Amino acid sequence: MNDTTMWIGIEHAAYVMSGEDACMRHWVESRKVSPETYERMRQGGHERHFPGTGQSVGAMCVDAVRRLLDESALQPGEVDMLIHAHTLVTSVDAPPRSMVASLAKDLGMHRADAFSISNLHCASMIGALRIIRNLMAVESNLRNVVVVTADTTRGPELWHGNVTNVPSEGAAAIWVRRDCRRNRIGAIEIETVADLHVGYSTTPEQRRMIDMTSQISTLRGIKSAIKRSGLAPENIVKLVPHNVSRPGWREVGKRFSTAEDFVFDRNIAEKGHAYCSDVIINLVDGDLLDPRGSDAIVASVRGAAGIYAAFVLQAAN
Amino acid sequence: MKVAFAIGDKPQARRVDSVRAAGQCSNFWFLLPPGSHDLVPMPDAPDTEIAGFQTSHKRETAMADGSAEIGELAAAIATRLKAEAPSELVRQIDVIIVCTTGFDSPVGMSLAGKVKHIFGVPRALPFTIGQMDGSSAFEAMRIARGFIHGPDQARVVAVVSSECWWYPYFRSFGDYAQYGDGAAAMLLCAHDLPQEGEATDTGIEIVDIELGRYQAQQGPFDLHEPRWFAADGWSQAVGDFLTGFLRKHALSAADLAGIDSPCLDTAFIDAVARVAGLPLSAGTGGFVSSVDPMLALTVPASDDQTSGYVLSWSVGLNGEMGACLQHRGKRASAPTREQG
Repeated sequence: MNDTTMWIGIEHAAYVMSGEDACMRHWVESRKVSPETYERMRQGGHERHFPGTGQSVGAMCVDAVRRLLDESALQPGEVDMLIHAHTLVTSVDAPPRSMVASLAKDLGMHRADAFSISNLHCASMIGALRIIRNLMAVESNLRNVVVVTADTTRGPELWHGNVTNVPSEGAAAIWVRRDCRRNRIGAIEIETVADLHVGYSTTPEQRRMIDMTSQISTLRGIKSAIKRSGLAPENIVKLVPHNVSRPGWREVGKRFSTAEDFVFDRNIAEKGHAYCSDVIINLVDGDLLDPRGSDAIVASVRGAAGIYAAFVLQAAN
Repeated sequence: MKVAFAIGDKPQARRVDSVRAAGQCSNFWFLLPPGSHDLVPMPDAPDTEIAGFQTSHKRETAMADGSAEIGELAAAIATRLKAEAPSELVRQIDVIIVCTTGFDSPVGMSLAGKVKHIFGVPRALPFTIGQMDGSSAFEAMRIARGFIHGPDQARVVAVVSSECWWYPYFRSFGDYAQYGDGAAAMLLCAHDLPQEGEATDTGIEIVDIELGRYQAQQGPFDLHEPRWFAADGWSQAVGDFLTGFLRKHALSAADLAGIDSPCLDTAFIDAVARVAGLPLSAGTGGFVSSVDPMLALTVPASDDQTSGYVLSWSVGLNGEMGACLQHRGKRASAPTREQG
């Protein structure tokens, strides 16, 4: 029942951003962000973002999946499962409507099971990979899964003053395939600190604790993912973080490489933070899919609510 | 995969049109689909207007009191599970799956993380699955099976399901469905989970889980009459789905010791029964979408007279179809292979 020889990989990835990019200044002013928070955003590396055009999450998902289908050999009728991974609780339709079921129907994914995963916040996409790996190991007929990620930031009443990233509107999609010949997914590490489940509503004391421990937790997750993938740290040629807190990621990167460009962080300034979609956007923009030989890529995310995640991409053979 | 422990309940059932829904969430008003805003009274609308919106139903629906919300009901059932389940099982929880049809928590918070906090299992992986309406509990069981028998080799998977319907969301979809509130939780594990101390076996084995989706669905807010979920094609599809699932296991109606069906319109249930050739009767207490299939697992095999195969099924308003085949009571021999 458990196929131990099976592996999963990313056959193709695509993304869309909504509208044109803009300077973060307008966002900061419209949200009445405090000078202190603005300074933290700036120090985090934020400069520009995609404020969006008012597109719904569903519309962005359609665009991202259509691009994935257009650019790859995947036929909608071959998709066995469609998963929407999202960070924000509001990135869904009014219940009981299922945006992802409509998406599967509209795109002709006739046999696709469709559901969403959340509550791992910006690591929800990585959580989807973990689900897929386990399901594919026990269900031999599960071959092609599409994961689509999209969030949209709502009005000021749904924005928290403790947030120090600049959000962007966008969606990304990946085709995860059984026994894929490229982008083999190695170990997938996810650690959550249950005490921090309240997310942005942490107490000052908890925030101090986060400041003290987040780098250690991030580093631990990355190291574990590398080790459990059977790799040595020197095999890692690039660290792909999500698009927040550039200084922190650079500090993490120094533990693995002295190369100036080891951390792919240019999108923090250029793209802003598109929640769950960041890692996929960065893999595409950095031309980082398809590691060769013994080279490997490690992607890492740390989400609000004490969530730390990392996974490794390596060559299939 | 077996059910090691299960717990759940629905609040007292009342007529939907006899009370004003206490919980209101105007912040999420924007999520309603275009064209539906005119059909929904604003949160501060007078009772007469709300009564006018509610259709007149004969059935009663389980509704939580006061300002209860999904997260509160989930936390309450998780707390009960922690208190009542054998501690040796709770300690071994490696994965926590929260499932719901609605909004699970305020922005920024992780309800699955909160449940993990309640269980006190620092190494567990918590996440939420949604957007599957009545099939989400079945999807959770399927994912649990993957985590138990796949590379993760999870020892125990906790599934926590919670529903609580607020305005401005629709609780009623004509005579077809009246959504209710409730919560349930269960612990799933492999047959051979090493157990310390007391026996922890409900006598319920999950033999197989099946999921499907009706292709001609238009979604719950399709306002065209007759609505797709009242048409014959839907009951035909569900009947065919159940027939195919039983055929896969070489079972017929005569082989089943019981069937748990959702609390939906009796005309729909009867139509499905005719197609599938099964003796179906609608559940009671309202349609608590992700919770009902788990409530069917909360009675240990030793506590009822049912022994043998039991079919549990439900559907969703996006064309979701889900079913699980359980075996209650002792078998002549332990199962050697679960369906994949």
